[in-house]
Amino acid sequence: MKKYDFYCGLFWLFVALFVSAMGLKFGLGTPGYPGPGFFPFLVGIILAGLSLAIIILTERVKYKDTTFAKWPFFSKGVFFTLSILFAYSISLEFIGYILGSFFLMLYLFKVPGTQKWRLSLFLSVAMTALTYFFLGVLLQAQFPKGVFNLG
Amino acid sequence: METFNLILLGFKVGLLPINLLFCFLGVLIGTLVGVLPGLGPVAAMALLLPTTFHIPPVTAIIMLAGIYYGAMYGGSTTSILVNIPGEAASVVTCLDGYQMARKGRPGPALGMSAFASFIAGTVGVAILMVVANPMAEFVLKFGPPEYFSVMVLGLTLLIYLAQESRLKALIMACFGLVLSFIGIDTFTGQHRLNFEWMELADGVGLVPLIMGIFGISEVLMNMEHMVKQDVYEAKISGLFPSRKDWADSKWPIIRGTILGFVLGVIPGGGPAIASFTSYAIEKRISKHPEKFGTGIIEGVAGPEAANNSATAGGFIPLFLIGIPTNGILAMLFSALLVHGMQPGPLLLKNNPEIFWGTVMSMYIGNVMLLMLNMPLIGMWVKILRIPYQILFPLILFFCLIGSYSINNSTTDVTIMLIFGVIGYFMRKFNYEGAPLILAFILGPMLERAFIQALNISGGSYMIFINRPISAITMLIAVVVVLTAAIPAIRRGL
Repeated sequence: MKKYDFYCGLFWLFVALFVSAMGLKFGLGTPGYPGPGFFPFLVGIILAGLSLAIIILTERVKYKDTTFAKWPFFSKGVFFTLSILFAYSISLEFIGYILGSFFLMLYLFKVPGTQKWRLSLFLSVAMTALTYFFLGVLLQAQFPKGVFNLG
Repeated sequence: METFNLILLGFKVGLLPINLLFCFLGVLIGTLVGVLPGLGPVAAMALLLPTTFHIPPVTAIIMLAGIYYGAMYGGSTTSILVNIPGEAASVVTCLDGYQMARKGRPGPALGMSAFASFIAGTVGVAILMVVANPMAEFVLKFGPPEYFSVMVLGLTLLIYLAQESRLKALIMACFGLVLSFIGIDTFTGQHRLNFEWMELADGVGLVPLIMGIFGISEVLMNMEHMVKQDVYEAKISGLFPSRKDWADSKWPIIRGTILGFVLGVIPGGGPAIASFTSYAIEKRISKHPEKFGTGIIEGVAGPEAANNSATAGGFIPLFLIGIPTNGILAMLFSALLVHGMQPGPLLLKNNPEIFWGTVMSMYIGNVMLLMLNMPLIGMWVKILRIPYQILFPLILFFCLIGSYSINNSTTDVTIMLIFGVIGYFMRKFNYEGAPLILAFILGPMLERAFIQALNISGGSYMIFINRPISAITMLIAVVVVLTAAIPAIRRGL
């Protein structure tokens, strides 16, 4: 157990209490004839117990482990890339598949992929074209055309 | 006689040109996926699932099954040549396989890996054929109480066999159950946990969930440490093992085959656990355990046999009971549902061509894999040299368009990315994905079976104890829980 497990335990406790509360709201029914909230409530209670166990265990090993306070490494680049991926997802209908995918691939090859401009451009165009042809044309997948009506 | 006729039916289906083509495509893609780190068979199957909508169901299952066992073959190539496992089940092959390559014997290592996989895969399929019908007849006696008990046992075993913390595995199982409640309740029509958002009325999709938890998060983790592949440089020759290699590998292959099949049947088992367990057993009973890890053929033959045999074993609970035992089989389960097939004993009765066609295609697929893996080693080595900086954008892109093409909806893409973030944090904080996925799949079935059982008994819980199969299954689950809980309590939790 590490320090971050304590915060994970708190997170799970919050989830557990939320789910249990929702279960009560849906209606528990009777033990012989469970309602829609019975299982969520039951799972919520079990999860609450488990998260308390994690919290207690973390407190117990606090002074026994010299690496207790060590957090895992998080890369800023990963979070930035995730933001770009979410932006792609949200804007796909507006920008359209062809433009959106081209710019996404260009970013991925150039920035986290650290490829040269020429190669990044070539691969971005190639992947967008190939996937559009294979999925959009051959398999008739309905890709969004966007405001520029491309595709 | 009936089994013989069904086997003939299976060959008839498996040998259809379209099924041969898609079997070949499946094993080729599976081998490629196994060779390339960063894209496992689960994500690959999730990506290709939408493309199967336009082909017949049995063809789709044949291709997806081919990806599964093909990945087991491919994963060992990269373990031996690069010391990087392409697949979880191939981690153990790195220990002796790579050392054999360093000693100048990559050929026999690759060759024995292929042959052991072929033998075990073939024997596993043969056992599957023998037990299928009797097992289906037995499972037809199952009612809701039995299904509920078996699913509880399945979840319990999965948690018991968790490789990291069991407490965290339990939490993941609970979280998976919570996710499975999202959507409209089938009994009352009430919205649950979706806050009346119609995009989630049918619940969270399995494909975006799996692609996020396994695919996206894997790529994000690998992005942080771009892996430089140090590929074995010299020419690879002499792929056929020597007589001594065969003599040394004979018993590890036999033991690995049996062990792998049994572990493949158990929920939470599967190829990865089978290969680890086989290696541990071979080392324990060997006359020279100190040589394990230095490059001996037994360290490759046993685990490779075990992981391929486990793939065949896993089809028993999937097809015959309707319970997938790991994430990869969960994808196959999802594919069957998407194509209108309900896995279970009635599948064998009503659609025997699906089961027997798939089983027979596994024979054919194993032969194709043996033929692919031997002469195409050079090609796989070239592919291994593609820098990960070029591969990961492709993998991410395929995940995105794969999830979009399920329902032509960006909601699925967003959901996949959300689970990608969750999966990333799960990996960082040492939470396993398999319990979550299995609980997510079993959750609705568990709830349905529970309520149906109570409806049958008029609200009495004794139905779970009065029926013998249910009672025995519940008892086993209780024993498993106590076996795990008592030592933990004695240690002071």
